[in-house]
Amino acid sequence: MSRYPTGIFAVLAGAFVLAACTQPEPRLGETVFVVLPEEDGSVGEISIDDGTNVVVLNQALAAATTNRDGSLRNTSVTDQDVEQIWGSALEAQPLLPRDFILYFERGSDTLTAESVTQFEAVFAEVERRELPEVDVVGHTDTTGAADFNAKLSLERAEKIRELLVSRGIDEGGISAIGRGEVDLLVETADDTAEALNRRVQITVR
Amino acid sequence: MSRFARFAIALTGVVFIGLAAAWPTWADDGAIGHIKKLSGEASVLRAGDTQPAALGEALGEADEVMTGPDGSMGIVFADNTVFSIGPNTHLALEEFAYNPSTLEGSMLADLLSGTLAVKTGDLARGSPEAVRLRTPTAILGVRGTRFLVRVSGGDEGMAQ
Repeated sequence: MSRYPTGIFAVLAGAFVLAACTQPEPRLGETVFVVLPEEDGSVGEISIDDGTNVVVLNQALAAATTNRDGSLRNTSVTDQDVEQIWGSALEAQPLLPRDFILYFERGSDTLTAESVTQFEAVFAEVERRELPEVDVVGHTDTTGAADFNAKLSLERAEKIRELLVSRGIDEGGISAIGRGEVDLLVETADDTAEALNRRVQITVR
Repeated sequence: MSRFARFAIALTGVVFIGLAAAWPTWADDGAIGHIKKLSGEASVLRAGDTQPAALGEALGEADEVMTGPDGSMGIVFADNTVFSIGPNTHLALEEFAYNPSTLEGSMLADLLSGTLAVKTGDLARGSPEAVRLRTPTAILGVRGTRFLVRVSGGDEGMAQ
């Protein structure tokens, strides 16, 4: 047999292998990550580590995908992609947790008039949900000792919890905790009075 | 009704109650989240046993959830993180620790296959990298945002 058929075969095989290796990666590979904006338009951040590189996504519709070898690269995603790939998942989203912030008349346990309205809205929100859970979280500003504030905020939360229970919300479905100075609404220095921080937050989920 | 029939019905009732008692459930203080929305074929794998998922079911660490071709599920966790799970999805809850008084804790889940939409809650606010998600080829650290993940193909193990 002459050499030529073997040689030509080797060349063709090589060309085929080369073509396969340099075939472009699909725009969306096996694994896809997309960042979405919040309802208010703000965007957080995700960082993705493939073991060698880290890709950070922090803009609306920023996306990354995996190459065939598992490595990550940035890619683009359209609204149609989102609907096509994640339409069913997004439809499975339950009612999102909803927050209500209550304020008190200075130095008392009486809710401000505005907060009374917020408080009443809690009941409607509980009614909307098949399986409601309620978290009551007390907060203080940074005046005074952290320990004392932790205790004070818990007492405030527990009072609101009692009020909710007396109005018919199932006791087993409500938690009351105090966060003291830990979770400020308005960032301040230590020992700084700030009325906006002295609040009780009710979350219905 | 014959005595035998009555006996058979009573025995069946006892057997059902026995089976129900054998399926482990998470008491609310052990629960890390609840199924708040459910559609189509969906199941929960717990302690080596797979059962159909139930609306309102409490979920715990080490639970896995699976959806069929027409299944979907929405989970709300104790820190208000929301997972919305599409069809043909297999998700394992690996770790969930949350102290609501300090916002400290951590969350780790594995998306082995399928689609997931996430809205983060208090854990992601508390500290960076508190909320992580693993896929077969990459690990995701989340800092407060909504995001989507899709993993095609079958279960093949997790990124290290």
